Amino acid sequence: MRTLLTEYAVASLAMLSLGCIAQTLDLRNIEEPVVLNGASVLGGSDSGRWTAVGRYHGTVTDTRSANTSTAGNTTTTTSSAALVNDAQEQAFLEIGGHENRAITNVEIDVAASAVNLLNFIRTQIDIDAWGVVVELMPVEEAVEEAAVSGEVER
Amino acid sequence: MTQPFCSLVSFLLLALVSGCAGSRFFLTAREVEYPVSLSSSLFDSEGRIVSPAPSDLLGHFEQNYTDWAMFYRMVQLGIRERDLSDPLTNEVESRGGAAIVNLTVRARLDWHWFFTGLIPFLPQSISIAVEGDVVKMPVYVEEVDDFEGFGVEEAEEL
Repeated sequence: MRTLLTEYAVASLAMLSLGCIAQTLDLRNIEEPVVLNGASVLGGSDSGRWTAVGRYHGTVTDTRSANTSTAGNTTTTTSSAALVNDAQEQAFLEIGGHENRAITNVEIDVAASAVNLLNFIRTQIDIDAWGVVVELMPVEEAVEEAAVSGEVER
Repeated sequence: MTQPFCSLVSFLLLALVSGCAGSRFFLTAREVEYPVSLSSSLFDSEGRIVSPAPSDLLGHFEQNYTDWAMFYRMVQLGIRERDLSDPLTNEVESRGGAAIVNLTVRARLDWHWFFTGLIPFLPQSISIAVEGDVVKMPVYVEEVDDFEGFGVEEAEEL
């Protein structure tokens, strides 16, 4: 019992020293549009000009943990921090270098969790971004396609 | 005290004071009337990529949210889905802008998770800060591919 309480106290101190954790979903270095809604064209209607070509998923995860164990008179604490940030990389892989591509309808899922098992304490923040990879058709092509589909309907 | 009794007491104590906490929600903005980009660029009406210049900046958008949950995320105390459409549209219209670029989402778990992780009925919060730049209609600037200056050949000749 005394050992357990010692482990808990040491693990608590280790985790408190880590303080609060924060992470940011930041795609500002991407040169192509990544938009929250369906409109990535300025000052005009762009309906009918998009073709979905894939899905986008990017993640930002920050995990911190402290684990304490006791052997004889020695108490050892191991604290670790892991950061995964592939949101920008995944966006670049999907649309980077394609001047007619964009990611639209982005939805962001933010989750935080904390686990406290006395001698094992862990906290985590997850930010997941989901979106649709689309290709913008040139205006002439979109007009032609609209005309063809209109004829088919008639 | 006997060894099994001590183990049982330790186990019960562990079960009482250990736990986990969390909070979760979704951010969407499907109904915004203006383009809202997480990157620094947008398409213009001709389908060309445009990046607003610093002179196109009209203002800064910032919105903060705190959402609460208890019993390990099972009981959500706030709104599960946050729709940013209205605040984003209002910000663009109030500043007379054309779009929002450089939108970032920052999530923060405050230090009190440590206590809420211990006692499951204590509410756990997560703070979100959404920030972006309101810009006016950027102008497309054509990139100059051929640089008419000293080339390698001219330099070698010299």
